[in-house]
Amino acid sequence: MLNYIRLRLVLAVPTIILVTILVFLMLYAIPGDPASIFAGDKPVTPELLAQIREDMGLNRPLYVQYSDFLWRALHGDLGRSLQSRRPVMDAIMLALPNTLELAVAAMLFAIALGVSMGVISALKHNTWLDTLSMLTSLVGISMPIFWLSLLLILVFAVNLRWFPSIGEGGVDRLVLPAAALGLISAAPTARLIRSSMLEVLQQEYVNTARAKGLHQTTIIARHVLKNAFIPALTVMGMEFGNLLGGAVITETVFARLGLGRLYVEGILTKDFPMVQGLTLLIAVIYVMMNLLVDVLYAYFDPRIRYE
Amino acid sequence: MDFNQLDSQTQALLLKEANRRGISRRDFLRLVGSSAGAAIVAYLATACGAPPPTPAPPPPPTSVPAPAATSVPPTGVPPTAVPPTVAPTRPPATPTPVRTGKLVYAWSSPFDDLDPNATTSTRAGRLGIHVIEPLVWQPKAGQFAPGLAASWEASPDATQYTFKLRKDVKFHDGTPFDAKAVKFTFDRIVDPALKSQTALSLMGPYKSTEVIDDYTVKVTFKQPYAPFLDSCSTPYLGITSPAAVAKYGKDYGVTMIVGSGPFILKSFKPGSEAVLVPNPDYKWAPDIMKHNGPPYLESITWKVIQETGTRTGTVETGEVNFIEDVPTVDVKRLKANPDIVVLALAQGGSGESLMMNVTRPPTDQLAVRRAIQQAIDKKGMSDAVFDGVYPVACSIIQPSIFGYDPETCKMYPYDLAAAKKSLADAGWVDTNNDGIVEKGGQPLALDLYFRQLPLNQSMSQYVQNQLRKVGINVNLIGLERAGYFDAVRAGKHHLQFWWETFTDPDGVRIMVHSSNAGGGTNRNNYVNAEMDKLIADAAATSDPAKRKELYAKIQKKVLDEAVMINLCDDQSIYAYRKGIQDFAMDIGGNYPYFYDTFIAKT
Repeated sequence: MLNYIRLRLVLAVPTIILVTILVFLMLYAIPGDPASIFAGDKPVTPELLAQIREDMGLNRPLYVQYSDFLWRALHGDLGRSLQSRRPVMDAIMLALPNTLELAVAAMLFAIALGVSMGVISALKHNTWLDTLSMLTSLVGISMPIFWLSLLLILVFAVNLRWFPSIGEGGVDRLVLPAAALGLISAAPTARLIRSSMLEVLQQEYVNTARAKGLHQTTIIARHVLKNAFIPALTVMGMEFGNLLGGAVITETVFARLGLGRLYVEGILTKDFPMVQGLTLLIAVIYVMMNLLVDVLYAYFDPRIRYE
Repeated sequence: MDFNQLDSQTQALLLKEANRRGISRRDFLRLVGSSAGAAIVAYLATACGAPPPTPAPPPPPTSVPAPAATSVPPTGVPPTAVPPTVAPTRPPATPTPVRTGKLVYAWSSPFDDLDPNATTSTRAGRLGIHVIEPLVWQPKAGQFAPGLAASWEASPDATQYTFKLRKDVKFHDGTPFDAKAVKFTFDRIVDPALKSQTALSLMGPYKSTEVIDDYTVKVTFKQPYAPFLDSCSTPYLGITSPAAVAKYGKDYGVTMIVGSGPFILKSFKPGSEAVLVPNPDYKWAPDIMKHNGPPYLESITWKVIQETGTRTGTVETGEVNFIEDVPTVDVKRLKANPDIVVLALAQGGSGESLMMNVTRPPTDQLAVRRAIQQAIDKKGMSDAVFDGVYPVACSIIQPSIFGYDPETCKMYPYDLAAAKKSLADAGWVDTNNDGIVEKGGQPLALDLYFRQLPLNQSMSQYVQNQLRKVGINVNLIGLERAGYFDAVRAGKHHLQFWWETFTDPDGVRIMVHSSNAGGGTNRNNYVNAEMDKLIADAAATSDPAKRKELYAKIQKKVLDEAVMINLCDDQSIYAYRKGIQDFAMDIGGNYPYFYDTFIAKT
């Protein structure tokens, strides 16, 4: 197992580098000039624009720009944002804890809600409980996060005054955004748990366990859930990755600092250092997430062995 | 009020009254007080013909609050004091309430650079002016009051300005404010390494600053530049501490700014939040302010809340007590809320306008532009897009700016028939009955480029709808920043929206001067030597009457040649919780100033 992990880590490095190269090329290819965007609608002479472009290091050949980024990144320096001159590392460090806490909170919410809905649906298969639960998950997947967030603010912050509507720091500011994200992430998890549980419940060893005289609860907890969990694990791993980089709408509506906003803002302004730095971070996280999920597979299903 | 100060007749009367009734000591004194008060009131009423003013509690700001004084002599004038002969009829039972409070302000969009000398963001300016002070203030359009400069003199040809500075000012880092700091600030703004844009354009044809002595500077321009005092009153030319810039280097403006203002920047999380705390050493408040000394507020916290629904929600819950950029659709609801005050101010600048590319056919034809000019129902647009809150615009200069000519409202009004006639006279006819006019086989189709913002969406649809009525087909092309700027700088557009803030009418230069055409801010790409001369002449003279005359000509010319169309005059709409008292606002409605502010308990 340890060898397997070592191998995966070694393979991760070229993967991450490849991702950053691809993103760099894509960002370069889309229309727009960072200097022009920086100037916006403000009066600026062509000479000043050329000067700005020079200062941003945009006149250097592509491979120089990329290798310069890689070299400095290996030394821990992610450069400065083209738009704000802020060190990219500082911007990320400021936003990362907020994003992490939101992602973790949303994930916990999603797991709790999703697993319970899935289990109940599977056990009460074809009853009204099952239908209700699946309907809820359908609504959850279809609801726009934007609308759900505003609705939560309106009901729980403005009308009921139970929670603050904006900002970061503290558990009470985490509840509403985590609920919004969690509700939506819970939906696919619930459906997956339900269908894989139904499949497992058909298996022969479940009948054997029942014949042995084991309690229903023991059967579910010890035998069924573990096996049913495996397909859901992949989805949940991906969801977590999404939550880390893609919660931009939630962050905007709830006025929270976060990686999602930084990322989108960086792409819209073609801020190469910011986008590259964030891509590096997200790529590392995704690779680690995938490795974790694969290791967890082995835990959940002892038949899975890695050589 | 002392018994012995009364005249003998009144004394005798009172003593007689007291002896007759067997009055208690306290009652006697009360009687003295009230009768003395009544006697004084009666005396003054007959003598002056009007009751004297009694000290009143600060009025809630229901109208536009402005800095206290209306006259602005260069030397200090003490605020009008209550005449000493009047006393309250009863000694005040409670002491003057402690003035304090924590202000929480919500910005509507993020920005990265806090350095007012370099930033392009109005929001950064809103914070900046509390930390970095200007040389002068402009309480009324064209009238200036001392700030860091105690007095000043402009040469008659407006090429040289000499400022005599205050001597008692210190920056937050302890270093003294002096002429060298002013020179440093101005030279830094024009240095290309700073990449300053707003401040740089406000400096105009700047040549150099000379330090005459420790507290006197002379600023020289290559050409006459009348708008310089207006520039000096903006947050963007505020004077920075040279020592701080040296200390923070590249990080100046990113993490910290240091000035001489009543507030000190405590922390700044870009895109999220900034906190200001009072400057305990501040005692050089300009005379137009209501008090001197440190500010009353305990702190000002500035948050970024981009989502309009969330932002208006926070002022309703009280999480935030002052918000900017209230969308017009929420104005009615907020006005109905008894805890909230809505403040709508005319915003100085160009208003919401539509620029027309005069170098690209078919908008290169005057007839086409005239038709567009008369085909857009501005009142309808105000009602449809801005809920009737924004007034209709007449001219390239807004009514609140010096030089506005109200005659422009009568020129080329909304007239669909006249618009159709302009097109027909120029040879545009609908030959195939598809609703769109053609000429020489080409249908009249225009490309309207706009940035993906909600207001722009509604405005573009409205324009498209109106122009369809006269047979013009408009293609709506909404793009993100990257694609948008590439396209409009290259002149691919026929139509685009423009919005600009300025407080001096020289701001028209940005939109119609030839130097800004061809990829710059003059997206009309309008190049006209006569216009350039008018603008240069108007900026060159300090004679207000002459300037007014020239700007009237400029406004008429823009309309006569249909260079661009001004649709609606923007308003800066703020909403704040009741209880916030005594904030000031600049003439452009852009920069609230919280130095005198405190929050009363309601």
